[in-house]
Amino acid sequence: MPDLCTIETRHTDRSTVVRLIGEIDASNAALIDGELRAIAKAARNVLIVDLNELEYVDSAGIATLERTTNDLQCRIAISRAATVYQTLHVVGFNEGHELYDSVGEALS
Amino acid sequence: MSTVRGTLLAALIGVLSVIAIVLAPGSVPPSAPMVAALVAAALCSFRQTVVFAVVALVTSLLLTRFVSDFSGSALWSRVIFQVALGAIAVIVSWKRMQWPALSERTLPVLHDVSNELFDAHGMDELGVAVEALADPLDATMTSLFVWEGDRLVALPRVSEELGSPVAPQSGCPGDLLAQVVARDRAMYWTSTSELAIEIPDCADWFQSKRLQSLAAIPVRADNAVTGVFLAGYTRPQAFDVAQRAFMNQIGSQLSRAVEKARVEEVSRSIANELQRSLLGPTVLVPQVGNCSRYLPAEEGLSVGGDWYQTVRLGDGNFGIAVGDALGHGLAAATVMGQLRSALAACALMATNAADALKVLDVYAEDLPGASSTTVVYAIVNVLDGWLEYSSAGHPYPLYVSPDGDARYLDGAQGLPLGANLSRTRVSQRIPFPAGSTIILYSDGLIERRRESLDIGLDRLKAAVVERWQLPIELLADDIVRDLFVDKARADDVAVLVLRSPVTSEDLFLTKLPARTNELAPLRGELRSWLEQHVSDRSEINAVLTTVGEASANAIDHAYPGQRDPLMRVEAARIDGDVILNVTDTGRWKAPEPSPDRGRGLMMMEALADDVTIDRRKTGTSVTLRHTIKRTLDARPVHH
Repeated sequence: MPDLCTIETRHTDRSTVVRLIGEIDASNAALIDGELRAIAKAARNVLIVDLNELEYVDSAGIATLERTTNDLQCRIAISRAATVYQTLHVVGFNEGHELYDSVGEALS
Repeated sequence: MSTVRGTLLAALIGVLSVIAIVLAPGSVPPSAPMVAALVAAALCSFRQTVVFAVVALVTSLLLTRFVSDFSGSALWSRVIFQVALGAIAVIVSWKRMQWPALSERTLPVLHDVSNELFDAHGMDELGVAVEALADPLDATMTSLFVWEGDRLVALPRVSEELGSPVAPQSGCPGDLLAQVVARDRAMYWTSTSELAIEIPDCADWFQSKRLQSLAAIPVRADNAVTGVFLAGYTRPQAFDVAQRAFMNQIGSQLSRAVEKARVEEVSRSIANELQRSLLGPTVLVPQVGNCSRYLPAEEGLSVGGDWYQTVRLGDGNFGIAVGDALGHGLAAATVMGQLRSALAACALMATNAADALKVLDVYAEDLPGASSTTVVYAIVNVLDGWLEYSSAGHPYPLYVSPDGDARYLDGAQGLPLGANLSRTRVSQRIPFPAGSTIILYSDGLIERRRESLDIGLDRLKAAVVERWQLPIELLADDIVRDLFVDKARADDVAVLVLRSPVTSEDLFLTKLPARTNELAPLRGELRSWLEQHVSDRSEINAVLTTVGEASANAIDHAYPGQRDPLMRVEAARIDGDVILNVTDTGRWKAPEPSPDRGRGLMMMEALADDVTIDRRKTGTSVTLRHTIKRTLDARPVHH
């Protein structure tokens, strides 16, 4: 499912912003994990994962995101208005780690 | 020895010793009469013992003073000695009275207990009987642990007191059981502190159960420990000789009861296996939604004369049947099993529904007990949208159109099987568009004593029309449940429900391979269906999430190596709720803390208003109810 989730990467001096657009489920979670790790390897600065454009994520996707972003020490941007906010909130996503409302906030 | 003989013996000893002392002073010590009191203490009642003790004491004191002529300190030491003997006799007798003597009080109890243990059939019933032992034992809880493989399993299996299987070496009561098994002898703990010293790990467990004393009795068979019986008390127990003797008796009764239950379990599982082979589980097939229910009339037998059958015919055709052999019980079940298999073969060869029944007619003619069997057989093709049926004297199939109109199919009735071969059988073909539902059933579902069949038919139709949109698993459950109100079941009941895949305003039913790459397309389909009923994006997302988790579970459940695992996803809007059902053919796996899928159940429970997980032998069925807060149309929302 190549177009289930698109990954947009934006590089600035201080950071690399990865925007996940689309859906993550058991079928593509491993793929997303691999891509994020590849991006992190290339990036030399702060990595920010933006989940605001994510339309759907299931428990397999959540578990993968949690593991990957913790391993890579990413900052996560997600606002309360995001589609998947409720889902992530319900399972206590990234409990103990800070979530930022937006990419701008994650940078500051 | 009876109390009367004890009294005579004690009296005889007393009189003889007095005579001996009087006739030949010095030959017998003057304390000899006290022996009578001691004998009474051992053999007689408390009151008799007291009388003996007083009389013997007075006699021996008199003898000591006036016959044997003791005086001074010699006299006093004898007085003290004799009083002490009397006191011992009284105390022993008092204690004895407190112990429920095994022979007198506990024997009737033991008799009842062993009757109940032996009346239990199989391990589960034995568990219930063991639980009931708490009463005669005056215990707070009683439980039996038996070996199942390398684990000790608590009986009753779902014991609130003791929980589920324990490995004998880990934790508590595992540690405790392991000790009893290893020592192969009964163990008693009269207080928490005693247990804390011997098995420190168990002290917390002990306290959490608020237990003060515990007896653990090994249950043996052929010199091997087959189980452990536990009796726990919230009040401290001394566990005296009589109590221990009683416990040991129960242990040996249990040994025999466990053996008996094991043998019964084995023969029962053989019977079940045979029964299953007679009436196999419904399989999910691609293209259609199907499910079935079966309720046997005979207690203890899980099949009877009724049956259902599903056959994949190729060319997108799918055969379904429900039949009813005369009678119920084992004899009817064996006929049923043969007819059922024969119909599957007939169906594969026949070109239409009537031909299949004609071949079955010929087969039934030579099968003893098969004549007068009724059966309805239908071929469904959901791709071309038709259904063709033929009935051999069976109650009419109930057809429900995609918009909820229900009618009985009575256009292809014939006589029951095997009666007269010269007759012809007819088929009727009707349109079966997407979202059509067909319900086949046996007469046990509609018939009631002293009531015309029409009333039963109307009742079934009314019950179906009321909730026809429900996912078929729930529809089948509801029909069976509603039509059996107040009815002592005298007949078997078979029900088969089939619905063709659909996405309409009312219904959503899709059948898909249980694979992860099907999840995204499923969400797409379901999302467009939900958008007809739900306006709020986050509400739609919540539904997609719970269904996604249920489906991912279904994919996980698929047997390793299962060929073409399938799942069925259904949705219906009923008043203010969206009801969803995900059914698979796999084995339910208890939610385990696996890193990736562990939170699925938690998400379902948090986001849906109601989650029901139904684990059947044939697979797992998850039903989710979402109450919609913001609907699209103006339909009133009932709560």
